[in-house]
Amino acid sequence: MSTTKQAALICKEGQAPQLLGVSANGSVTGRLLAMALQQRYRNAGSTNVEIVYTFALPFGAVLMEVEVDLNGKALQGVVSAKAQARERYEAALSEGDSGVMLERHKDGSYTLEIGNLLAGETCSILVRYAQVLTTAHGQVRLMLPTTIAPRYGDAVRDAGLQPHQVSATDITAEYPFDITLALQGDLAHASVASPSHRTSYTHAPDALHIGLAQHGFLDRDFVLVISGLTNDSDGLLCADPYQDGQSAAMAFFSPRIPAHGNGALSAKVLVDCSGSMAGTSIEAARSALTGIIGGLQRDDRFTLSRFGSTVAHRNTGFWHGSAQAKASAQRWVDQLEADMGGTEMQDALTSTIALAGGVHSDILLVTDGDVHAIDAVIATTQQSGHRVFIVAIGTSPAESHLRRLAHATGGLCDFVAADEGVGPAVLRMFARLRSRRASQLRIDWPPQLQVRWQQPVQDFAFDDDAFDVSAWCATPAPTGEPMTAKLWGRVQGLDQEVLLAEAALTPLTPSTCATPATPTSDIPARITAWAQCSALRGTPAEHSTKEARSAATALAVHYKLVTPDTNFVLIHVRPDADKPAEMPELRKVAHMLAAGWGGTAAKVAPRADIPPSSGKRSTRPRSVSISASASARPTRRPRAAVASTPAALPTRIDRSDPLQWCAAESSPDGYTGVTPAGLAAWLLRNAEQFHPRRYADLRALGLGLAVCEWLEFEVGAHYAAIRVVKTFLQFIRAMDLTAQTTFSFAHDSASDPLTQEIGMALRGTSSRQWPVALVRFPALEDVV
Amino acid sequence: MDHPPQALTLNELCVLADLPVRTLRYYVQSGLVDRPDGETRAARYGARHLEQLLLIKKWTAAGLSLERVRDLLHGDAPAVPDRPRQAGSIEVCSHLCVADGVEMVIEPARAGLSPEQVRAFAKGVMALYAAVTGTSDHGGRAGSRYS
Repeated sequence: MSTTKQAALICKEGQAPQLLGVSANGSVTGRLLAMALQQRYRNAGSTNVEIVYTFALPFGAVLMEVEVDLNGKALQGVVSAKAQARERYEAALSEGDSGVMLERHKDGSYTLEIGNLLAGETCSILVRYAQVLTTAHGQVRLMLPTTIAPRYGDAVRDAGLQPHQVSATDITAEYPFDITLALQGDLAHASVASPSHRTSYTHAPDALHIGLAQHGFLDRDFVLVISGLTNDSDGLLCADPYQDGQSAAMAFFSPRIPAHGNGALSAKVLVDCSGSMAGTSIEAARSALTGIIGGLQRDDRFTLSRFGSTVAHRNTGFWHGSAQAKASAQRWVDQLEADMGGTEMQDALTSTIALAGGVHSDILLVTDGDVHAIDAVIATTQQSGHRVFIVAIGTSPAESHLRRLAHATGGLCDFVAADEGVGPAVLRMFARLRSRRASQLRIDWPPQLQVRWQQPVQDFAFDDDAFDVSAWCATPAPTGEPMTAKLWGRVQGLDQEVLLAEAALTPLTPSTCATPATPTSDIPARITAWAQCSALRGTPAEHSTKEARSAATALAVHYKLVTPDTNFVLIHVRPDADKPAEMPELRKVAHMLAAGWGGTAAKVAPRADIPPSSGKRSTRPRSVSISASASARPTRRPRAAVASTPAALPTRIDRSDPLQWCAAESSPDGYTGVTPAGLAAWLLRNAEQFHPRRYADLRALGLGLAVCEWLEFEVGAHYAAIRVVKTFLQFIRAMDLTAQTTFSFAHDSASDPLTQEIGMALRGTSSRQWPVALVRFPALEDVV
Repeated sequence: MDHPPQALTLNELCVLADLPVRTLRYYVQSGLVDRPDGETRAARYGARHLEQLLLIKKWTAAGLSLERVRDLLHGDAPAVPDRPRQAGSIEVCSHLCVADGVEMVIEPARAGLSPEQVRAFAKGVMALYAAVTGTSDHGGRAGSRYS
């Protein structure tokens, strides 16, 4: 319906940038990260402006404070209910006063508005947040998003944003970014590396200091990978400064699920081949899939699908992890390109769920997650009972969307940055897919704490994948005695409840947090309040009651938390002489394009490494919601073997003749290609010099994919290609096929093994149909 | 209604058009809706503004982007269907629109350009276009990278 032409990213006219840069400064103690982000703004124009900036914080980050500095003067704001905050802000602007407002959206992004910043003024916003870092397989991944990549879909309709909150991208935008981090505790002695930025490390006696070794920009997530950690369960207790007689407990559980050998997995692989994946992302996807295929075992079952604006399935029934199936799968992976247009994830998932008769299975999704309509996707998948495991790729993947999708279905999300090796992520994925399921989790808090409310616990656990739980305790302050919280659960195949983890709870007192850089002692209480607000509000799919919503709002205001129901607002009254006469002009801060998005280079590649691309294959982004237009990749057709001076050209097979060509609709097994009779007739009609010599020639002639792959991967595993093809064609020419007869072959010890093998396999060939086993290759007869 | 239709305040217009106040103000800021008579507290909106808002609502509900809605509102010809593509493959390229009718096509991998170089190149091309066509320098960009 949309009549927009496929416009490109528009270079803005040379307006001076309103955002001068962002600096981040954080420290990690235990598993608690406290980060301060400073955004600096300036109005370099001659009129009063309203600066609007939509940005993302990491998934699980809880906003603690917003500090505003206007022209060097510190100002105080408050957190209040959304509607009141908006009213105050709008009234201030129409009075000619200035205002600052920060609101949070459902999808975890925030919009900052600075209204009536007068000509020449500067403003600096300091956003403090706290985040629990989760450990997975001995590794902690610290991520800070610095930009929002263009997303497929309509932001207003699909993501529920208002037009002023929709982020725009400008390829000429350039904002400096800087970060410093201090790691304390066991992290200071672990192995630390950043796959996204060149970093410098300084060792101090009690901490490891990290900074950038090269100028950074707001064009890719900052990722720090800390590995080699011993994965122990842990916990914190602290008094609640906002409520007398209450304290907060947080447990970080690292479940240990008893192993039982390598279970077989059942996975439907779905790869995002939309335009945004072009370039480094689709290469990383291919590496990840190559690793996945390599890790498949004989008893594993899998299907392969790719999607963009449409979805294409390689196989509709499961294949087993046989050598032939893996070879066929690898061939499919090698041909993956980011050429399927937009990102219609909901339709793709629905179609993938329905594969193999809708049998319960896991879905392994490889994507960058750049869609708006994620809530619809989550709702669809939750109903199906399929767990979604995600390998998230790209310099700025949609972290919040993908973690929510994985979590809602009982799966997990793993991230691979642009230059990171995919191997470790793939191994972790396999470990999760193969492990026994743990469910019906239950937490035993120490009775002395008198826990009165506990965060709803996820109903699944994976070995060595930590998660955290918060609770309110009706005791005023933690006492000195040691306490542990225990995680119990039921494991598939075991009758008794199993103790999965034990977390020792350590009291956190003001004295243990000396400097402003270390986490303040009210963080656990505020994180617990945040968890309670989220539980009251429910997921986007559930409809929370009005009472629950007002309780959530009241709680958020009390604990000064910015939630989807509450905004941070600050009003600065101007003296009458300074009040502007007109309403401010809009200055929306455009994002830098995520490095590597849609084929733009993430880094300079030496010429030799660039794979030869046939034809132009980068994307054409489209105005606000950027997506690539659909394309049909020209099928690669290697030239048929022809002599240098052909006397006559080879004839083509008549595809409209059902005797010669089997079309997809008329074939019960989905075989599309030349029939045995058609191939025999063609061979008779054309000179020997035109006959196919290699597998690719057979494919070009029109022999169906399954039969070609049978020849190449099954028969051709032990014999030279030319011999295999020649023997095969000899059989076809010698077959005397009529409408009634089928080919029969008797085992003859006199002829060579290759002839035996092909002859036996071709038994039952009729004039119009190949043998069933060949047509279904590489599936085995007993699969669904 | 207390006021005659020619003199609605912003809040009254929001109620009539059934839009949030910020969205309405956004439309005025981005030029989709005409500016009111008067400014700030004294701003008044009339039937013309309401009409524009209702048209915007109708077209965005039908799936048009705001850019297209802006064209339609301000007198553009109705949409002409795109020239049908040639049968066969459609190429997908990375385009940069420097100005109306001036496009730059880049495949950075083939050209061997880093993101910084692409940005510098884009800026240079735009500056060149401005110089060549004699259009005024648009405010100039702050030269230094660091604040």
